[in-house]
Amino acid sequence: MTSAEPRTTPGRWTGDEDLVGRSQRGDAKAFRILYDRHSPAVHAVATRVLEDRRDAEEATQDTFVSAWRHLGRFRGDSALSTWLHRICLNRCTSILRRRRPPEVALDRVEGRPDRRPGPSEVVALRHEVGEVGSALARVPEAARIALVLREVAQLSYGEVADVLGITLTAARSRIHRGRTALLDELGRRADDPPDQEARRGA
Amino acid sequence: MAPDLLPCGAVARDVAEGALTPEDGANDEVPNRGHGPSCPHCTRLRRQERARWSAVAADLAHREPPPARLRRAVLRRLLTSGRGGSIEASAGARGRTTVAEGVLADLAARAAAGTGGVDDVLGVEVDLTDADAIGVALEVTVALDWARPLPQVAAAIRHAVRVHVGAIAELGVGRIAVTFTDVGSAP
Repeated sequence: MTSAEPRTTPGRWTGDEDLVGRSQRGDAKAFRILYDRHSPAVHAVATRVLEDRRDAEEATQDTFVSAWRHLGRFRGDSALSTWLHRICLNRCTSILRRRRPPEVALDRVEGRPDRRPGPSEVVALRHEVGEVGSALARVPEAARIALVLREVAQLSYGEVADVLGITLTAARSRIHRGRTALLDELGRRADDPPDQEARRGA
Repeated sequence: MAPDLLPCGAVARDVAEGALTPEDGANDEVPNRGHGPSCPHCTRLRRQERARWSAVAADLAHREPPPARLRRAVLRRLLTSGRGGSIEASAGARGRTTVAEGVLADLAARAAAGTGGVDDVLGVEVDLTDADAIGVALEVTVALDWARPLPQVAAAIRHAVRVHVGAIAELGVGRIAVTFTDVGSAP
């Protein structure tokens, strides 16, 4: 038996492990297949975490370029999807941080605006990302991210814990808090039609 | 404010929240989740809440496919993200000149993009394995302009890449594979 590399062309049926190995040796074709396989989930997670199409595209793009550059560091201890989601969330967190205004001193905190989207932003968001998307934007960040990994990326509880670097119990707790908060937001929205909400904010 | 109670006396919010615990039931977030399956009030509320959640979960699970332009942008950025491969272009008493794979890919991409009949350059792969013996091997992936003769465009790309990379990097270019994977939209 020979130890030579198989000279077959990778295809859609080739497993992640094989494609990662080929990509690590510089095979861009193999990486392209990995992109086609994993980009829908990564893009969906970025879209739901950021609730902004342009930012989500930026995060997705950066995730795969970073993965291509650092694929040599991927040891296969976790699934490739877990590793990609971790890179994606790091990128999303940077984008969210960039959106926030600079910190102010505590003695100047009076009159500081609420960082959650205001009524007019909510109306615009609802138009852009739908009812569930705009309600999701109002769920606290930690719970929102855990919820998105579970419901959008369809990761198991263990994988969510792995991506976020937290315990399984903490992951379960965040997902539960996310679900409760999201239904609360949707319930509140049903009691408060958009026109009334916008008028109140005017 | 007093909590809303079900006719059985259970706190409605606790029962509703309990219905949303992770599917394996191993969550301690809501210690008091109401009465067991024999209680019709708690069971009805749980069922309603789960149905409400199912609709929201289906919305969350729905995925819009990433736009095609995003794929193009990612693949194009990979062009200039070489992972350390490089080749010595010249060596002399004053020091050597080294060109990174990413630079060669970028040069080839620009040459191909300027060729008539090319709608877009989607990727360039550089193979330096036999660069010393037979020259740098390149694979250029492009989208063809609508209704342009394929063999002539491929020949023009090979010529442009060979001249451009050869002149700028002063490197011998060996095999140039051209792959058409897309066609630009009709006018």
